[in-house]
Amino acid sequence: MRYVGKKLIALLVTLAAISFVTFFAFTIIPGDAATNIMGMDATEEEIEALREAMGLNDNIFVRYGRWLLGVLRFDLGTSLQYSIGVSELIGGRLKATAGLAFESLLIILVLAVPLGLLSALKPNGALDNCITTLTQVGMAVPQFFLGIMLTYVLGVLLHVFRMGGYVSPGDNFGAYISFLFVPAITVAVPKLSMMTKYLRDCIVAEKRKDYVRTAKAKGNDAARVLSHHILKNALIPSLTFFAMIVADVFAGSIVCEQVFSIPGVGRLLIASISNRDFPVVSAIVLYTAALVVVTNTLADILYRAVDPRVN
Amino acid sequence: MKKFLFLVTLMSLSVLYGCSNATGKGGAGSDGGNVVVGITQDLDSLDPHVAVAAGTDEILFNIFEGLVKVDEYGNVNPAVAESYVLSDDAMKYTFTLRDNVLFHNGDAVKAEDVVYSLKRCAGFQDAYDPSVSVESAFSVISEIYSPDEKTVVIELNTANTELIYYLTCAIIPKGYDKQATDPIGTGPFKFSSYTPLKSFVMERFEDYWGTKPALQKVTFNIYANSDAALPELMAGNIDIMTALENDVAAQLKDNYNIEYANYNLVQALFLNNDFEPFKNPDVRKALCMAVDRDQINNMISDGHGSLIGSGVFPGLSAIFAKDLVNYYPYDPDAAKELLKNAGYADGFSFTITIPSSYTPHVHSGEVIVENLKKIGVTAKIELIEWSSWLTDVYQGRKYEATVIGLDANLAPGDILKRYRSTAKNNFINFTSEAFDTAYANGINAKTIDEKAVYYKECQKILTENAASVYIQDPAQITVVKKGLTGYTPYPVYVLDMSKIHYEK
Repeated sequence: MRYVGKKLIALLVTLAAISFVTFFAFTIIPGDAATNIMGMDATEEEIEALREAMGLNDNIFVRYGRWLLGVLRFDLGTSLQYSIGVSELIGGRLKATAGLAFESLLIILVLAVPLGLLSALKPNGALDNCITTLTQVGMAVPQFFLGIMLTYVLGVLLHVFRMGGYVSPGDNFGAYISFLFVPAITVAVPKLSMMTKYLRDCIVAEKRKDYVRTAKAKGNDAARVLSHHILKNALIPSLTFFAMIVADVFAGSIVCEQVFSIPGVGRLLIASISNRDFPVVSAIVLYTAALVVVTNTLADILYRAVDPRVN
Repeated sequence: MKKFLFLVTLMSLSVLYGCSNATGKGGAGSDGGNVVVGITQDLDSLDPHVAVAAGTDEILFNIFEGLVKVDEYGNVNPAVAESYVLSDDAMKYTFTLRDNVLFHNGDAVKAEDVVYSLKRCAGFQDAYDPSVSVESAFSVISEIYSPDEKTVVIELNTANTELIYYLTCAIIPKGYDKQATDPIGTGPFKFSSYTPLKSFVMERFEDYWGTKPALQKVTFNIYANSDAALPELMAGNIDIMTALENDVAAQLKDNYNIEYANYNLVQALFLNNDFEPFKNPDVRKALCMAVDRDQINNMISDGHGSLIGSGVFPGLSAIFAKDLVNYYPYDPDAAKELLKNAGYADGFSFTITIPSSYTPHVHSGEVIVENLKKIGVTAKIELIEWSSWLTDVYQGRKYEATVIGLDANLAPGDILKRYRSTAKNNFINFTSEAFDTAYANGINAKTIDEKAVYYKECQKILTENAASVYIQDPAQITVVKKGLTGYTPYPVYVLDMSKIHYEK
């Protein structure tokens, strides 16, 4: 329990540090929301008046303090560009990102374990070579290329998929799930490949260990040794790896969102940076950071639960 | 495990089923139907007085109207106003409001709404809103008031015959504070929904005072770029898309009609006249002769752009000085000679700063770099973000050269006013007393013919001094799905959806 408490404090400190650095970085880059909103033909006085009204002229610590107080009260502020509450803006887009993340995680989970196992059954056998080659290709192929190929084949040639056909889950949940399936494949393939390869290597490494020989000597058949002993141990290091993948997919895939025109968090982040829409950028950075830190912390805690050796 | 696999199979089946239902949409018939328009630029605001991006104006034109409204020939015609009178001394505009003009919320437009809207645009103290981009042309206004329910009067502090072109400023309900999220205007379409970076939807306004549009609903889908929209175009899910690159449009000619129009921009290699080599007019002239405008035109719009030789685009036909287009013919040898005489026999180097999001300007820059190599000048392209460009280049004037397109209001003098020595947005640091005088005469002239004389004089001064390397008004390439008609190019940034309809 003390361990969990310590982790939680570390988590909060990390988030505070990250949010401050974001704040600070934003004051260094040229241009601000006021110049951006007023456009080309505004006078310096007009821009100054808007800056003042938006509170951009205050000292960085004052602004950071104001923002932090808001966050502590669960108020992320209002988008300077869209005049919409930041929570509302991001909330709407999280639906897309989360759906995409869940589906790709599902694909990874369902396929990585059996593929890794099959591959490790006979290291350097035909099946292993085949799967390893595929994972190499899967890791190497750029996401945008895979996305474009999939849409070309499924959308343009076969007409079974509509590329910009994203529907909000509230409107039609079935269509939402089915649309996100193809982008989810795009997101999943490289990560699935890495996960499979990693798992395979872990299993192969475990297989050589003494306890496996002992288990076999005790009369267990190969399948039982694999499922009850090797897999259990091989899955532990994969847990951390999987946690990284979780954080990664939930942060939103900018490339995938661009290719499939999915209104997710990634595209919003890019647009908000160029609009100098500070409240939105801060909120998304905070979300992403929290995601990484929380999943890693969870993985650490889980690690302790499944592996008594870690102390 | 077995259960899991079963679930997955079930899911993929439902995926295939769901997808097969998702194809094909849109409407038919001459009255009604829906249209999907692809755009690549998100709206910068839904509040017409706050929005500054040309891409936003293009869409909001359908939702909002001013006292007057632009037509496809570049005229301004009465809209919310029924008629207007300009006093002989050009110091007082009197507008008579049209009866039965309704806002999209059903309220009738009253004189106080008009006064409020104009004051907000003009930045008058009692309607001051710092987020509004105040129209600088409104600085000539001294008073806006309504003597009675049907009349609005604008009094000026100096004679001005061009103000009418700015009175396209949107009329909005007085004191309505949700304009940025739920805009209300008087146009032929009313706002329906907006999802940032995804879509903007509008519907036909049934109580519109003028000719009602044929289309029932128009959805603008926002894509990251035209590459992202291409598969959607190939699958026929987009009906109209503007601002396409030529090679993209060419792939679509089986199902779409390709329309070429002008962007109504002055695209140029703008030179900072205060930067050392560019202080010398001969150096600027040399650059004008060294840049192959035809090559740029072919490169970015397959030769469909219109070459220019000065700071006005051809769409402003009344004042456009046609004779200046070929004032500097492409002649690298003569350019080299000029450079030599100016003391730059060995050439020099400079940086061209271009906003990275504007691909055509970036491509133009690349051609320019190659062109200049031939006269021994080394140019380097630096790509920066739009926000940085605004602050550093446009407002800060901390740059050597840039490639950009400048747009303008239809008011004849608007595109030229930045070259006045004292203009705040004179970002090329051009100074010429002769220009200032000619411009002032143009503004004060009463008739368009008189104005044309002075404004042509202005253009001549710009060209003779080689203020910058003027290139072209680039071609705006639009694809319109076969079966749809009524696409009408305007001499300003407008995508008029009220004229578009399905063929019978």
